[in-house]
Amino acid sequence: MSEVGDSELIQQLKVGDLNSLGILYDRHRNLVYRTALAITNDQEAANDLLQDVFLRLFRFVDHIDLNRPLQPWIYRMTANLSYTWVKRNHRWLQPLEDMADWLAGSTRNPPYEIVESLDDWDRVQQAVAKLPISQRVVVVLYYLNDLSLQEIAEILEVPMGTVKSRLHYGRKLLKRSLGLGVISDGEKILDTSS
Amino acid sequence: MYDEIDQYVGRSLKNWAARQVPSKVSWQRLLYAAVKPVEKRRSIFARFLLEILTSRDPFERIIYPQCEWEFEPAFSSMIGPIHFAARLHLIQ
Repeated sequence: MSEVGDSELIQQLKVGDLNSLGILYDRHRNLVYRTALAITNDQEAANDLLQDVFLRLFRFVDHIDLNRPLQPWIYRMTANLSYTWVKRNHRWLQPLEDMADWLAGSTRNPPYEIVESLDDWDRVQQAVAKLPISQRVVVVLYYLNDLSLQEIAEILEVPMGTVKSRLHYGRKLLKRSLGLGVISDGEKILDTSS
Repeated sequence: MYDEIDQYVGRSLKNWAARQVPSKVSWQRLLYAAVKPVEKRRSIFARFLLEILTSRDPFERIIYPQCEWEFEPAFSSMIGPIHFAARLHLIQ
């Protein structure tokens, strides 16, 4: 049996079929949770945002255009809610974290060789989590969700030039915090499979 | 210019994300918050408790008695979704 499409499920949800919400939830929950977690760096917040995104889908289902794909709507809601959460919760905390990083960074040596491992995955995620929020959202949508610059611009409702610029500065900061700024011929990023 | 970094960051972030899963109870929390009529909520929770009771997961068996204990007071006081979700979260 073929899988029921998102727009058909939205149509059923519009007439109050909660099972459709359940199917949509099962289909998209990992995407929402992982995106929210990568942006907020907080598991509790990501679980709450996951619930919030689907509650809004339920409440505002009548405003959803059936002729357009659902995923951009989900990305937009996830990014906006995550953005708001970060802004609300990190207003005072961020300068202290930045100061701590700056102090720690002065004694940190760039790695000679980067081998991808479990620790490395966490390290990259932590580096992403330290980016300014506007860059972080773009970096997460670009690297984690594999969205194009055009798609990100549409989701965030900003000009493509803004997306490009945020990604550019985000990459620069990531390079610096991951110690990738001094790669020379003898130093390579290695794949664990090699 | 950014090719290696792009691949490294993209792959690492995806590998990290693949290990992250939302909490098990979030769908029940969602339904509870989404559904307004009391009768429907009651049936959702009946199903939820049945699910936990019949689960082979010992963790869920451990949280079951506390769910049952929390359920009725939360329900009768009509501050259900927030109270119940918060308690479940604490138990987790």
